[in-house]
Amino acid sequence: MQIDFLRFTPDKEFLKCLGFENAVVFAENGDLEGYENHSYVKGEIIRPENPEDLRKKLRKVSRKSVVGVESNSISINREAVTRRRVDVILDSVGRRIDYVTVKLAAEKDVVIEVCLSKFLLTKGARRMRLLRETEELLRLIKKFDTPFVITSGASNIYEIRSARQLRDFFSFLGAEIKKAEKHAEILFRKFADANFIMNGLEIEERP
Amino acid sequence: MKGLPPSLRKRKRYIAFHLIAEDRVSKVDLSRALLDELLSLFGEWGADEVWLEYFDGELGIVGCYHASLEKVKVAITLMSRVGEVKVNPVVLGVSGTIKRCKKKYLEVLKGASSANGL
Repeated sequence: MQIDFLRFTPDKEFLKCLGFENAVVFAENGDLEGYENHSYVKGEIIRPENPEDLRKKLRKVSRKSVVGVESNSISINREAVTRRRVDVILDSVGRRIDYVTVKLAAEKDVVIEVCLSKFLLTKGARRMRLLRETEELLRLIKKFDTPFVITSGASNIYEIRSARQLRDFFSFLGAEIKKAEKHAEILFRKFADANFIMNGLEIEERP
Repeated sequence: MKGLPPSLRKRKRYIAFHLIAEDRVSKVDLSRALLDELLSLFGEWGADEVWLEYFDGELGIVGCYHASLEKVKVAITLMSRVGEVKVNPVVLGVSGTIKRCKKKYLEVLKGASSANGL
C-alpha cells in the first residue's frame, strides 16, 4: 500500500495517477479543507518553541488524528520521541536530529519522516549538505531498525512526485524501501481502519 | 565513437515523462534545466550522457546510457523549475527503445481521461 504524507489536500484522482492509494494530510491546528471528501487521514502538525511548549500543545491534540512534530531543535525532537501522543517526527529543510533521537525513536516506536520536498526547495551547497545528512540518517535508521517513512512532504502540486520516483530517489540514497512502505501502512491503518489494533493483530468479523 | 559494432556500443535507455508546468516550457529550456541539474548534482563527469529525445510541451522522452540511468532519474526527480517556471516532472516509465517507450507510455497517456482513471 502506497501512502504519502502531505501538507495540502490534493485531488484523489491525481494522487492515484501518481501511484498512491491514500494519504495522510497534515495541517497546523487541524485546519484542513476537503480532506473528508477524499477519505484522507487527518494529521496535526505541532511546531513547538521549546520542550515545555510541546507538552502543553500535546494536551490539546485530537486522538483521531496523526500527530506530527516539526522542529529545528534537537532537544525538542528528542523530547517528542519520548511522548506517547507523538506518532511521527516530521521532516523539513532545517530539521535537526541526532543519533540518540534515532535510537530512542526505535525504542518508543515513533516514526521518522524523510521527505523529498526539502531537496526541491534548496539548491547548491545547502542541498549538498542535506543529501549528506539524509544519507547518514538513513544509515542510522538501518542500524537501529527505526520506523521511518519516505514521503513527498509536498505543500503544493509542484512538490509532489510519483511513488515510483520516491522509491528510486531514496533507494539511491540507501533507504530500505519495503520497510518504509510497511511502516507507512501500519501508521495509516492505525487511524483509518477501526479493526486494526497493531501490526499482525486485528479484529475479524464473524461471517 | 562512430562505427562501433553493436556489441561494443553502449546500451541506451529512454525515460518517458509527463511535465506538469504552471506555464509553457520550450524543449531547449527543458534540456538546459536538466543538464544544469545533472551538473549541479553529479558534476561534469558523465553529464553529457543525457539528451532530450522528444518533447511536445507536456509529454517527453529523455535518452541516456544504461549506466547513468539512476543518476538521470534522480536529476529528473529533483528538477523543480525550468527558468522561472515551476514544474513537476512525473516519470512514467523506462524502456530500451524509443518506439516501445512511445507505444507503452506516451500513446496510452494521450488517449487517457480522468473517467478511465488515467
